Amino acid sequence: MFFNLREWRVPIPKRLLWIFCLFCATSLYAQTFSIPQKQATLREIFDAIHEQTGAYFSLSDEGILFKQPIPAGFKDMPLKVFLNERLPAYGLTYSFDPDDRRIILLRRKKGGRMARPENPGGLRRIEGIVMRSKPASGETEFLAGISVQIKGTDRSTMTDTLGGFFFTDVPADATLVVTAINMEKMEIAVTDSQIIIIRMNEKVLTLDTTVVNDGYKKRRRVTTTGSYNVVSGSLLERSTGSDALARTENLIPGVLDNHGSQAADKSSLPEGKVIHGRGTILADGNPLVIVDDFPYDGLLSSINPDDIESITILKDAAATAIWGARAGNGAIVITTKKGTSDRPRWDIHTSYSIQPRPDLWYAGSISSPDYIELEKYLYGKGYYDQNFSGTTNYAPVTPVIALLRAASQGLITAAEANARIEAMKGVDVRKDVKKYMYRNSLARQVSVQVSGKTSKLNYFGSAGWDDNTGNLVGLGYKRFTGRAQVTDTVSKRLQVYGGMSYTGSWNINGNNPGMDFQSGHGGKSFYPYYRLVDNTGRPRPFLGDYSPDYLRQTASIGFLPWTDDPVRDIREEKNTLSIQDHVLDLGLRYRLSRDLNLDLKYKVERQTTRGDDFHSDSSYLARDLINGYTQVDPVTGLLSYPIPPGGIRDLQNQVLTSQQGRIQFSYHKSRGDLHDVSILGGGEGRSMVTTASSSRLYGVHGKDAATNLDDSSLFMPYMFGEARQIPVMGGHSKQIDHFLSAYLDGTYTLRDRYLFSASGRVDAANLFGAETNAKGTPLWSVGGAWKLSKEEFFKVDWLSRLTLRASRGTAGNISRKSTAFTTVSSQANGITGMGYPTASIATLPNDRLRWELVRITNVGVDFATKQDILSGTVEYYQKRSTDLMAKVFTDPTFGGAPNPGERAFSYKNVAMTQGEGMDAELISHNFRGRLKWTTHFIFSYAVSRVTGYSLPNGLGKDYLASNLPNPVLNKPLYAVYSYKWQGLDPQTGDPRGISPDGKPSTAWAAINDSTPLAGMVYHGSAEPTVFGALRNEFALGAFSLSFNISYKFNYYFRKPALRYDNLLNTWTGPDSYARRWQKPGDEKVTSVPSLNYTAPERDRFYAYSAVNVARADNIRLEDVNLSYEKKDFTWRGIHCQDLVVFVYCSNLGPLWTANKDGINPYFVGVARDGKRWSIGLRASIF
Amino acid sequence: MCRAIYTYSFLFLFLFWCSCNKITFLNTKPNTSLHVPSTPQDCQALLDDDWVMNGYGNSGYPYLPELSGDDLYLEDADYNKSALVDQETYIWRQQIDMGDALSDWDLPYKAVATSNTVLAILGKIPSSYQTATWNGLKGSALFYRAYAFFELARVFAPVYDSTTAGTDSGIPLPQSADINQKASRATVQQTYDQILGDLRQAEGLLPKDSVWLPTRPSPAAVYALLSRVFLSVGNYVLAGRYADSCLQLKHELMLYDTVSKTKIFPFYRTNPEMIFCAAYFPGGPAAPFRSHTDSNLFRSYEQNDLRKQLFFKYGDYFVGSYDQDGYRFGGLAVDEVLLTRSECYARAGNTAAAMADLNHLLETRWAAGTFIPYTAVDAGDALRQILMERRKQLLFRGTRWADLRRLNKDSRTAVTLSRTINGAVYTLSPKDPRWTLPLPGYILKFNPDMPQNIR
Repeated sequence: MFFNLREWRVPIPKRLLWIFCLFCATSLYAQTFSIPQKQATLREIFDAIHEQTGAYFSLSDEGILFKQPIPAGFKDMPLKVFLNERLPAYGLTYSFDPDDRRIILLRRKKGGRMARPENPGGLRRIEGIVMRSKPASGETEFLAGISVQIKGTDRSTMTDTLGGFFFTDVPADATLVVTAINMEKMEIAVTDSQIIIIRMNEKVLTLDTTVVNDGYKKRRRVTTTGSYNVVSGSLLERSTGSDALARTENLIPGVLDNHGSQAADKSSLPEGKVIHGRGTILADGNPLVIVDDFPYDGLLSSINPDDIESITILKDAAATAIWGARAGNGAIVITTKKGTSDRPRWDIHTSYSIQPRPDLWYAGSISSPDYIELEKYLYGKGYYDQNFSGTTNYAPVTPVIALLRAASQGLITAAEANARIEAMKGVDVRKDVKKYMYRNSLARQVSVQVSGKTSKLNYFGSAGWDDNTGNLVGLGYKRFTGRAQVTDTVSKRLQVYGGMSYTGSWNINGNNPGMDFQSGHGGKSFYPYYRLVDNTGRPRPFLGDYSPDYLRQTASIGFLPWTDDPVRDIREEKNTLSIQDHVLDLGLRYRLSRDLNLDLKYKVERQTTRGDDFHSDSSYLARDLINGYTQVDPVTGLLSYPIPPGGIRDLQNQVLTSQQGRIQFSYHKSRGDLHDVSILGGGEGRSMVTTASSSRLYGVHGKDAATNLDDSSLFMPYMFGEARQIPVMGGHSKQIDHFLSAYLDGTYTLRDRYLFSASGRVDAANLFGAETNAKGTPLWSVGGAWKLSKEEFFKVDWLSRLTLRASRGTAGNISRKSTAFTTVSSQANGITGMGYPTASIATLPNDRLRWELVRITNVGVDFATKQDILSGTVEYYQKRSTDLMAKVFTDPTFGGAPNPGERAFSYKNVAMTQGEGMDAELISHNFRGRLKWTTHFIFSYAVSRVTGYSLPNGLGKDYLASNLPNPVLNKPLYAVYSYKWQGLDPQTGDPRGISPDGKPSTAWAAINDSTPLAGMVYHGSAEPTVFGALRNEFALGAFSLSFNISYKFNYYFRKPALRYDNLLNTWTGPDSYARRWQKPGDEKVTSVPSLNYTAPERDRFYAYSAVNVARADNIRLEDVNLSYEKKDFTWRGIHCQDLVVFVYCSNLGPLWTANKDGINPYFVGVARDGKRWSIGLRASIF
Repeated sequence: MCRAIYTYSFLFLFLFWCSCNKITFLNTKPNTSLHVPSTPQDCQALLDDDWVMNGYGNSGYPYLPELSGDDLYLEDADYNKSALVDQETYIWRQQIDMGDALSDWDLPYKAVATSNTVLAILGKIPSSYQTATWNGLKGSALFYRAYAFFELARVFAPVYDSTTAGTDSGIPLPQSADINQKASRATVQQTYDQILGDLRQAEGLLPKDSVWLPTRPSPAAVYALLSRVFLSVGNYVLAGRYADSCLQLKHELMLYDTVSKTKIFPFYRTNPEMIFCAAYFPGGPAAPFRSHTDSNLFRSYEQNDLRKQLFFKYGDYFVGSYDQDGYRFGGLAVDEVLLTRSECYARAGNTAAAMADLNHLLETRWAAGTFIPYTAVDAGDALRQILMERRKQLLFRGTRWADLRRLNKDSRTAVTLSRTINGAVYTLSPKDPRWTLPLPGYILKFNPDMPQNIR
């Protein structure tokens, strides 16, 4: 049948009207068809052929011929006979391409003569058509502007808009040479067929053909000197998930994605992408993110990955210098999709992912029998006596302790107490937590896009919907994204474009911390034998803040119920964070002359964040706060409520408005192969205003507005506790960022072999309160490339391409930590509320303030073997950062002390770091036949160390947090240090460190507090220094399979350690308790110290000792994608150009870990996420 | 071509316009709540920062003297859970580990830095604008600086002794907020000269007729502080004279009978006796309900003495701060000035005047109609009674330690302190060098040439 006749309109060419149709298989050629009617239009005949043989036709218009009936009445007419004998009568002809097993049907222009060889002497006229199959859709496309040359002569021509070309007087034995950018060069012998069909193949994607977008200009990778990597949209589609950047993990060399390796102090390395090593200490270390030519200020989660055409990573100075002062950490340029096909094209993407509950047993907590036995033992030792005496007699205790206490008071018999305690040993709280607080998470994603282009208009529109439910009950995320872009070519000179996008996302949370539950005041976690619900399924209270006695007493005099039922409480909080993001893009491009273009661009973005955290009146938080302040009149016994009973609502509002404008000239001039000059320059301005406010309402009933209490009075809680003020939460802030920049960037190519590039940029910002002329900073880069393989002397046969590149330049970074003048922050009223404005010194003056400077040197080699069987890039870089802002402690005698217990400090440009590294990317096409096998290998080596920092190194204890920058000369910024370990004392099982005179020591407090940094064990970097991935892709027929294996080497982490003080105070701890030292000799098999519950310093020493540091190296199977692709078929009247169905699985866990404790370094001491399974579908419909 | 020229000129003009606006654009404040102070209004706002200047919020004036003194005692349990610095201070250890930061040092110097910043800004304001407002601001800044210096001197500098003051090490006296300078200790003589100099200058600058606010300096506050400073250096003549000057301006006393007894903290910051409010750091055991009142002191209040009800709750926990909301008052109030004048009368031998002042105060502290005026046989007897009442009235005011230091100079009034904690007994005799606290160790690290106090 015919399809899309109306949509597929192409301009009618002057010379030829090509009509083509494709037959699916050679067998078609021999098939027959019948048409009983005597008369039929060609259209009816084609319909019949399609129905009977499966062949189908695409037509450019319904020409007169098709409407006029022609003689028919075929019976079992062989297709071949029809094509050969009947078609010519109607001015139609066809061609058969045996290699491709296709038949091409063509119609000559009226009056055109048939192209039969008429000159037997050999010279004749030939005609041809150049086409290709689009890689994504399989759709056939005529290629215009392709150079066709008769080999060995200077006769050449270009194909016209529909791919057609002709030569006259061509010798019969001539060969045509067809060349095009991004296409494999073809040589074709002239045959005697009427029309020469030339089907070009896209060059296999290599670095050579990649187009990079640095946010100012798109250019071919080979015309640049910088270090770029591109992740195409189709590669992004390989994985699932709402976050686009997360999908690029393990796809780009030199880019490190840190994963939360939870240290013993429950903190993790800053997550995010690190490009070519960290070049700053305190300033924002994240790369600059650019979306559609402008830095993006909103949340990156607002961008639907399905809308992304490609992501370009800018790594070296030649690439980033154009972004100037904010690209010191590299830049990530996201380009959204545009219309590409002539016909309206609909794309539908949908996926459905499921992730089972996390593994709560993985982290390993102390068992119920162990904990109960420990409690019984300690109760016997009198450890809990303090809980029943003096002012602390309302402290919460676990049920076992309460039973033991009741038994010793004679309230119940010892036998009963024991029986009930024994019964608890069989309880495992994790079963309940898993059942009632966790669930399988689901993620549903669907997006629809429509796009297309005509000679005037290019349009793209999309809508996407994400609906995720989290692993924790009550947690959900929904997102709507909408985007529309139009580019209108108004005239030959003028092109205007406009774009709009809207993203709304809603994050919904209940009060469900899962296994991380901690009681409000006591900081108690679930004891191992806690049951969340009783036998009838009703939530049971968790008494982690107050003793049952206290709750009974308060209840008896009329306080609100004061128990915390974690399961019930999940639904008593509704925390909604909604983010609305609107972006408007406007721009125009004006061709000033043939070589010079002017671009004007403007973008405005407004992101509104609204948080509404409502704790209902039955939520524990509300009841606890109200009760905590309830006053009892000593005379009348009446209760009064400083906090009005009701719900509590915390509101926050943030509005970010950013405006950016750019004016840019670009000049490009090419003189054949000899010179090629490309220059762009311009200026841009940027303003970003962020306002934020927050408030808390008390006494909320339903939707009614309620009071925002502002009472600074102190209230004594009933019976015990310290006097307190009602927490007043609220604030208002406004931040304004202004930037002005001017830039110039040029590339000169000589004879397509020698490339020179240079760029410069001046940035200024309203940063420092400094003199205007000190606000700016000039940044520059120079680069060069030499395409060695183009030289005549280059005679290495097996290497088809070899390019050497080098670049050097500067980038910058900003930090708002410091100001050049004394600045003050103002408040409307002082704390004593005397009714006048106050101001306090916010920063002390730093008159030597400047931008951070990053100098980057990069050298690289790009190469490809013949036919790109193996291609790749190897790069080496050095990154020197100077003037880095660092914290410097100052003498508080001159002010500057922040708060009690905090040291006075200021920030100064004092530090230096130096990094170096190597990236390699290798692509190998192992098989290119029916079975296609491609291997991508990426390798990165990145180290960075501090080379200058004037702070005294101080004590070892200041360097234990490996998730914070630990600047030490000649060491990485994020490093793991520990106390020296001398094993357990064979007599006592005490952990032993080392005393200053080198002997084993148990003076833990002294070791913890006074070990100098030099006396600590330095293990190494907390970030991997060698990392990369290996991705294999197989394709066989319609099926393809790919999997990615990643590796991260040479880094360290701290294992979770048993701390007896935490074990007793938080009511839970690691299961290594079972492996503690118990008798002499145990020290040979364990490093877990013996039971000692009175020595927090001993616990601290052990937790931070060398025995608890391990190598984090690991190799993981990241993900597997299996997909089935069907092209070009019709289903229920819908023609689908491309349909992909896939199964994707990620978070598959490590294949190998260096540590022998079975710890997955991505999940240290926390529950381990389950494998994530996705199924999905992508369809392109024309 | 013509069109191109127009286009280019337009663009040139546009860029020119941009560059003209560049300066305003780049001078925009990055954060609206931050700005560079330059005006008298800014100075007033800085001085009104009660968080720093009056010791509210998280900051505060020294509390370690309170912990060292004999107004309070700690139970073993409270002692054991206290921070190391509080423990070591409480038992007068020879060396006190003050950690990396100590509010007693850092926060008064923060007030000094703010005062110095204000003085620097005022110095840049042209003299034609140096009006009464300007005078008032300068006087206030000088007062705050003197107040902070004096708070520091009575903790970290040895008690004033005219024979050795020229050589004894006092405290650093920074005169500007430049963080790159090096600190050095002035002598005790220079320290007190600075304090008294600042105050006498302030006396002439502060307006006499402005509206009084408890957080702002006033002439009465200058006199009260001068009286306090002279009392601490043992100059009873001038102490009495300035106390009298103060009382000329401000002399109202509360009738304790009319104060509500149901509130946990019965007094208000704006109470009639308030002259200048300032709080000491309510940290550690200095926080309400963390430490007990000295038992002998607690027992010494008589039945009809309303202070027993108003000053103590939940047993012997002190709640009688002249401030509110649980802040510990350490500022200047009429009761202290009256007791100072009374003491100075007694020391001058004027028993009648001394007892008149004392009875005038006590009458207001007792239940109406129950007070029988005290009598004294001689000036010495009067002094003994006045010092006892001073202790009973001014407990937990941060002044007891300074009083003990000066009283120890005289063997008749010297006191030996003693504590028992975890079964161990600690004593501090009058001549002990430990009556001066050590400088924080980290300050000496910044300034290696600075001498430490000998203890």
